Amino acid sequence: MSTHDSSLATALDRLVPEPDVTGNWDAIVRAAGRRSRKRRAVTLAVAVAALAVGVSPVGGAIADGVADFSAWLRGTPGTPASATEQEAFEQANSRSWAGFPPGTELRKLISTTVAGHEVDLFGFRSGDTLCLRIVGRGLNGSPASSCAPIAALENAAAPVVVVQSDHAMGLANRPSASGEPVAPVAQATFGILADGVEAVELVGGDGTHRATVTANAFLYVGERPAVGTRIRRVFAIGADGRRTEVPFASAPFDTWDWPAPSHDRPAGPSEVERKVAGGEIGWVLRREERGEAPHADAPYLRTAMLRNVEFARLVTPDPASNLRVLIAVGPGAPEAARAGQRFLCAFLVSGSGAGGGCNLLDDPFSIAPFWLGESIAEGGDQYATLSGLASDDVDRLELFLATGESRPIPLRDNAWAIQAARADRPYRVVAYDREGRIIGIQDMGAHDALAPRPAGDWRTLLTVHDSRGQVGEVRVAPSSDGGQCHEIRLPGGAGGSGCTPKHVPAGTPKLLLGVQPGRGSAWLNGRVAADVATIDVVFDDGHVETVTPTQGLVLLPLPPGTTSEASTVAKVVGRDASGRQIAVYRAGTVMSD
Amino acid sequence: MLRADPLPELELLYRREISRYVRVARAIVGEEQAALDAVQEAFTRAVEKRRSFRRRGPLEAWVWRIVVHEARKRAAAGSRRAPAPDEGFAAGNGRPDADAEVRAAVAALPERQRLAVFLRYYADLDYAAIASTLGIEPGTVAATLNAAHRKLESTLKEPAA
Repeated sequence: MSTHDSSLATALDRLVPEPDVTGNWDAIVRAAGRRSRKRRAVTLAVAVAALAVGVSPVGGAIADGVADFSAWLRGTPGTPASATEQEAFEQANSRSWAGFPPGTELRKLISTTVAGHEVDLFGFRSGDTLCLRIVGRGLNGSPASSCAPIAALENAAAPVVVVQSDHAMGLANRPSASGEPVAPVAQATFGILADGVEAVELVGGDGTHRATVTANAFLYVGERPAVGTRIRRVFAIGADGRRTEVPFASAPFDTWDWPAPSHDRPAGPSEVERKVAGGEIGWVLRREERGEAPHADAPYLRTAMLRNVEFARLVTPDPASNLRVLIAVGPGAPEAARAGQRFLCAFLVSGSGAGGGCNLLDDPFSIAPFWLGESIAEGGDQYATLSGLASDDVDRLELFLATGESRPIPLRDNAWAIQAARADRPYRVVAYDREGRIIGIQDMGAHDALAPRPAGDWRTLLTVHDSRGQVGEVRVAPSSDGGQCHEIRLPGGAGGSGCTPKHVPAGTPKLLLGVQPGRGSAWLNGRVAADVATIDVVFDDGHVETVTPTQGLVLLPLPPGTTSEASTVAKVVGRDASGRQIAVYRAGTVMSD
Repeated sequence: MLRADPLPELELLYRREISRYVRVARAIVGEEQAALDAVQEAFTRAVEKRRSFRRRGPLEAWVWRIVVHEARKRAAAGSRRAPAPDEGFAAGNGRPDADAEVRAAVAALPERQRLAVFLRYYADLDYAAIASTLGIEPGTVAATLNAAHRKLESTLKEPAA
């Protein structure tokens, strides 16, 4: 630089000094999200109009301005299913108490043969979702349907949207003689393609595979894969040969093979602007008959938490979706009824089942002004459903994905539900009041990357026989953070697992227990805090059984006749070494499915 | 068509380079708050429109184009509001404006030369990045900057009146 250059630089420096700014990235993401939502609202209006004239097949005209997936959004991929195939779908659908809307039309996308079995992939549209249905002739575990929200196609970061991975078909009816899992006949991974995708490459534990690609869909079926084989990465390959990695969350295997999260931290605002307390749902307290009444035969009404329910309504937060939320009030377990307690429960009801939880009706929003639950039908589902209740303080809810994108959450009559890609975890849900102030923030999956995992050899800690001679087992292993991981296996395959951190966070309940089925029997199992020396299991008839936890773990077969749906355990009392009561667990106060 | 979401890269650019964006925007619009607003708006548009980024060039150049465009738009809107004489660069709280001639000389440059100077000196962009941002050939950047230098240096050589 010459002297004059230097002088010029100095003069220019004086004219515009380097600013001292930090910026506000969150504000940018929020502002961009708001504008996107405005555009999407127009698109949605068109979609709803299409629905008004009946359920459309896949590819009903719903969206403008979406080029990549236009074959799905505008056209009709594949060919109409045969009358037999359509009838089989309708019959199966009519038997489901939470099925897809009548009139849903199937399109056949891909057919292949695996291990002598014909496997077909169908597509259909249901509300604001596009669904794929895998049918393997003569293979159990099928038919099975998985769905992706249409919004996923509108906002896709890659030209492939994986809908399901490693769906097992042709499972053995029972484990091997050694009790180890048995490999299925086939495992299917499938999804939706944009125009221009020439191939889909899947990288699994057993090598790299090319999927069958046609009708803007892809299907890969692994034949007799080794136990635990999973697809780990997915790539789209364009006409020019360029490979693009597709956002993807591989299916977990067994207890500990969970995929590492793609993102370390959630996005979105992080500070509550107004604190609220004592929230309630007025219409529920007044017993107003909003929404619709649940079907009397719905199996979820037979679960322990919903026994003797006094008030129940089904709310559909988004009219364009088949996701519904059951809001119920009841006493839960008999012991709670005797104590005069009432619980407020919320169950997500979808085509694949129902699950939820309860809280005390007196103060249901003591932790936050809304509940946050996450549901998937099976491990390979690429889209989870987030759902819950919101108190009357909440005017609107917003979902922030880890990618930075945000979406408004359908909220009606205090119930909410939305689907989100598991590859976009961790999620953040933000609640706003009527003035637009943030009154609640909750994350889901924010600690996945930090969660302790097994980091050593497993050993059997407890082996317990029930009255029929069946064996339940607890195994333990050191965890990556210096704590202990445990795995509970019950007859018939039920059980549970988890890791107790070396430093247990303050506020963690002292009794983390549950009742689970075990092939004709039921088992009380779980873990307790380090200072719980004994537990008293109190049954409805007043009988008490005292158990000493082993390294904080409990496994107790319950008397014959006890089931997980009709537990006779009234409560469990935790006592310290001096015999002093330090915790109580009441059946029906924990999450259940 | 095959592309990954550039949102994380945009966030990184924003967090790492915001001072440079604001500095160039301020040079164009003349006032720091307006410059900040221009950069916020530019990045909001970038986030919103990121799916249209085809990766035919560097993301940074694409973002620079949006920032410069947004700042120019605001500068043009400001000029339509009849700016005060000598508006453009802040003189600083009542201090004697020793750089008035330089400021005037910069303001007198043709817009392409002026923007090239800003991107070169305030953003430290190389010729290729400047060319990509301004939509001109890299060889043209050198000529453009040379012409601007000659005019500005002649101002610096002359003693202030």
